Amino acid sequence: MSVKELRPSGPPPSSGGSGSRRPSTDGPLTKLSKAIYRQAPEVWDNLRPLALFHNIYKSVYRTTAFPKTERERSEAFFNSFLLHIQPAKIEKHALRFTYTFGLGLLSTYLFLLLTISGLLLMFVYVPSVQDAYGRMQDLHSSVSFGYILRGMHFWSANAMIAVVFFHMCRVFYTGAYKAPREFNWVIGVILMVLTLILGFTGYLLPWDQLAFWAITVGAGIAGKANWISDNLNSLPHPPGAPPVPPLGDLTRWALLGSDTVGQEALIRFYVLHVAILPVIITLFIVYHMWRIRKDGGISSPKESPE
Amino acid sequence: MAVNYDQEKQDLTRRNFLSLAANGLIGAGLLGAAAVFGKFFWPNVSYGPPSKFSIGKPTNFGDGAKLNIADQKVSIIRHGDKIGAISMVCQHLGCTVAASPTGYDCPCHGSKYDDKGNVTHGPALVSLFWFDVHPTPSGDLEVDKSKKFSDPDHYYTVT
Amino acid sequence: MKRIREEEIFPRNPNKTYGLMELVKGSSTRVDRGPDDMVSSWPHLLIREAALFAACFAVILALSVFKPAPLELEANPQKPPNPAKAPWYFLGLQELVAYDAFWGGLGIPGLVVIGLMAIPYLDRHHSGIGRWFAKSRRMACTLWTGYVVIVIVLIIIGQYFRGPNWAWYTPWNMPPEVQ
Ligand code: HEM
Ligand code: FES
Repeated sequence: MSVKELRPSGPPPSSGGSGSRRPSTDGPLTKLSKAIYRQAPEVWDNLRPLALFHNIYKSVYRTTAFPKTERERSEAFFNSFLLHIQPAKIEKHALRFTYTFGLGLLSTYLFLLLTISGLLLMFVYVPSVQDAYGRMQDLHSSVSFGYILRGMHFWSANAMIAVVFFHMCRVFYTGAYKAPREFNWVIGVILMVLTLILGFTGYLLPWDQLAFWAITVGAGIAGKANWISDNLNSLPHPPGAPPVPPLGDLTRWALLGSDTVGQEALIRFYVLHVAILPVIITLFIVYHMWRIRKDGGISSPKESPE
Repeated sequence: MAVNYDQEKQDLTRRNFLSLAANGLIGAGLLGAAAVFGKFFWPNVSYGPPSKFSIGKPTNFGDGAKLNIADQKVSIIRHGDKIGAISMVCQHLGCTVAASPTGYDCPCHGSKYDDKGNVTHGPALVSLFWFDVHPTPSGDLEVDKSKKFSDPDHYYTVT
Repeated sequence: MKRIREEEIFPRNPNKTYGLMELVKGSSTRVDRGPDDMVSSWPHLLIREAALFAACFAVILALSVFKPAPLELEANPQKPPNPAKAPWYFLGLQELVAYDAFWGGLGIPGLVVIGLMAIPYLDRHHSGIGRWFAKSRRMACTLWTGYVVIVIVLIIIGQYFRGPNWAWYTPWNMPPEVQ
């Protein structure tokens, strides 16, 4: 090849050989590798599969995969992105299944499943009055695993509502809302309301009979806030004061984007359901978890007399 | 925030004043932003069906007729020479009522109305709306849903 | 207690005002907590969390495969189904709404939410934390059970005892077209 002609006095062969320089018969690749070996012999060591794997692993995870000593076990939690939210050491009482029944964690898991299945559903669903219902039927007929996907979203949603309620009951019955965890209980109530609203907005999306009429009635309920403004207006007020606007009609109108449930309502509920509410609920969940750590881990019988 | 609650410096120092003013500004800004958001979500046009629609000649309706115009959710009734238009949107929470031998029944929570839309059974508290019916120059009758009455008997009398 | 050499294991970062100082064998340094009964989260916590996730995923997957989600007829704004039932978790609300629209749909639920949020600020008695049904909290537990029973009973009524026109029916007399 032309390389030979351009560089007649190519690099010498590997060291060690005795004596005389003879013109190299190596190809360019061999020459390159020999050059590398001479300059940085450890490169070849680094390419050994085991070493390579080990080094990549160590660069990704900051601790050993099989922690054995007490120190490594602590570091496994301390240094891990996902695990560091949790304490490296935990009270035995907090681990007893019959104390929490894992209900809070279960709510988190269900929310995770909902997020994943929901994102996949978004690839199929179209938030339009003409198409939405057809796409739901497609999920059951023409999309591979579509009905399982829809089922996972459906069942996780129903389960999450029940589980969040049971979690609230567990927190109450174990007195876990008492100081210093008062505010985390308040956050919890907000989370439960958000969960219900998430269920409500999602319920419209299939655009079937149940969906349509449940949302019609739900919007009707919002409209009943008129009661407040009507009563305010019937109080004695200074002459010429403008009347309080009908609060219920205003909320209904803003919720549905129209005076009946239709395309405007569908797109509003869709955006709320797939973007705004999930982000809000995620922020609250993160805060809920952070508070658990800051409030000294989950509650323990050592904190108060019987 | 930076408001100074030091026991001995309860009076309004310059720094206190500045931080209060800053908080006030932030608050005003947030309120303004909320107003802008609110206005954004406030629909300026309605995409629903038009509020006026024609129902044809008065002779379309025989005495005692009770005709359901489904896509407008309006029921046209004729008593003698009087024609009225009753809303079929339940006054409880907005389901569509169905015509029944006694008047109108709501399937959602069981409200019942008589033939003139008066409540005969709760939970609805208010009778069904009546809409304005008037003739157009062509002789057809037109219902105007933007003119609604909460008391019954807003008939158009056929002459 | 054998101290582990500090410098080598946890090199100090001069830019940080905090850091893991040392690890010691023996009881934890937390005070006012009585005798130590801490275990390391790895593997005790982790294994439980993983097991719970596996169980949760398995149950949801099994339900989705064997009981697909329902889909009714396409929405028809002209014709409400009779009865038009909300999802089960709103049936309690629907039951209340059938008595009074404002109080059932907004007034009472709003007060319940505010009431729930107020609980930790009303019940400040520092006792019975971390125990199920502590004796000193019998009153609180009874009230809460009352609330739970009301919620569940309302849902059951809505689900099984309300038929066409939201009239009372018994589950065994329910017309077949009501699912
Ligand atoms: C989206 C919903 C929710 C999620 C994802 C969630 C998550 C969690 C998790 C993972 C825990 C750790 C302990 C355990 O597993 O039981 C926890 C504890 C707690 N939760 Fe929730 N939760 C939710 C809703 C609620 C609700 C509705 C309440 C009450 C109104 C609440 C109040 C609390 C309190 C006070 C604690 C501390 C309990 C203790 O220290 O023993 N949470 N939550
Ligand atoms: S909407 Fe008609 S009774 Fe409730």
